[in-house]
Amino acid sequence: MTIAFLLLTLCLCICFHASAQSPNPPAVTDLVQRADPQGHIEYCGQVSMNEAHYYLFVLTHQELSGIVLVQHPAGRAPIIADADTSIFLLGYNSRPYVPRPVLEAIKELLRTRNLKRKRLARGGTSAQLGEISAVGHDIDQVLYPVSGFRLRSDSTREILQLLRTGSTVSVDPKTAPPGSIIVSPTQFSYDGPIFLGHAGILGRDGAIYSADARYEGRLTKNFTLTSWLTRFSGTNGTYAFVVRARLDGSAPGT
Amino acid sequence: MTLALALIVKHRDLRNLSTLFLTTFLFLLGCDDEDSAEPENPSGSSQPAQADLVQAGMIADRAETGAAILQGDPNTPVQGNGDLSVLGDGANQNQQAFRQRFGLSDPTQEQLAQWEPYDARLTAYSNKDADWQYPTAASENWTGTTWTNGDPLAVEGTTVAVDFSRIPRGSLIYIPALDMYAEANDTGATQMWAQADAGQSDYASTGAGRVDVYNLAGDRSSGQVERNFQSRVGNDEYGQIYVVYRGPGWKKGGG
Repeated sequence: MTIAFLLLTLCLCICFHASAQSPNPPAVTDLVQRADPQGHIEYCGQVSMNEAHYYLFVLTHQELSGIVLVQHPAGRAPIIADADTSIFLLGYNSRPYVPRPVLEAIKELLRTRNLKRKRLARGGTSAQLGEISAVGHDIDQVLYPVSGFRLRSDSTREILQLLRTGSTVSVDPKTAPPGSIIVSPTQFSYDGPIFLGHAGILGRDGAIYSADARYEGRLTKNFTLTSWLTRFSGTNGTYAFVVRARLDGSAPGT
Repeated sequence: MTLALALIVKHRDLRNLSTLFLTTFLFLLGCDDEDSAEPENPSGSSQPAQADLVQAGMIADRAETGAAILQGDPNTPVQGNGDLSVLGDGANQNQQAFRQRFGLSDPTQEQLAQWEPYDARLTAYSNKDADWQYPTAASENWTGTTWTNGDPLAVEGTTVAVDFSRIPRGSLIYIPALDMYAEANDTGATQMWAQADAGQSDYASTGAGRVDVYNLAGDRSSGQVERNFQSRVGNDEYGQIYVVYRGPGWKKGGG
């Protein structure tokens, strides 16, 4: 077992390479830009492993921000391997397969990128430094102190899964009560398009409060329920959940 | 299904057949609805209890409180508060005159989607800066005047200095964090702009780099101007700007 581990480590050392400086082929950039023509793309670096190159992009589209990972196997056309507001998940098996060492290297590239942009000023934790969107983090800041329930994920697809399996009640988004968590998961195909998803909290006045990429991911009153449904329902789907009250009614940590 | 219906016809009159067809049609219609119309609202889910709704109300209140600083009309883009007095006494008046002369109004979502977005690092400069005396760019501003040495007559509230290799001289830009239209008619001293500033490297090809917003210092020192500006745009000075029009062509339509 130990020998196998050492061999594996040696193999990774030989075959693995990550760089924020390597240029990306025009075909890769074209693929991402075509996948979201209105989005602003930022190339963040490359990870190579076992004859395959992975190119990392940050995609920003007005209020939304996310990560796009392009896989370019030798001798084949590049494909979009993954895209979402976060690609680092609690439930690792639920996503398209990207080798874990590649994911770790990508997180490091994002940390470097974020440090250069002084995101530490927001008081983010070390883990959040590897994230691009604060979509789940911002919801947790509101949700957890009241309900004791938290998402711990910034991936819209994982947030949907967590809400579906958690202590929640699914409600119709069109008639969801104030305080509902509303989520539209990211959708993409291997050659585009990419429809970045989003998640937020429905307010009392029909407004939705969610992380806003234009303001460094801070919780912002940036949608109405109507504008959300118009924007997301046709491409991403929209789901809403009410978090169940705890039976003892106590505050977290009590 | 057809065979079954044929057998039934042998034993039922036409009224029964009509009823059967109607029932079958409604059944199939119901199936279609369930497959495609409302995938967001899974059938069979229970309703929230009263306690759940009370808690949800508390969550809604907390969200509203937490987002209070950045609240705005949710149908329009979130922008700065429109008060540019931090840039100098005449900044608000200059911005309004600038907008009136060139027919500029608060941007809509549609306009923002059409304009060219850039990441930028917003910084401040003023007439009290030590390098103020050095020539920067010899470009007329929107009021049509320059200093005698050829420098642009910077106007608080409408002038920004940029790297002309990224944003062409005379371009019209919009800065959401300040809710400010500005003319990019100033630049740093020759060959100095691209260098690191205060330990921060400017953006690479994906950004607009540093966008230096002109302030009229008045009674303030250069340092006070910078501190006031930092306070206005927030601790994190990085933000998105939009290039509304590249180059000076946009001024042809104005007064």
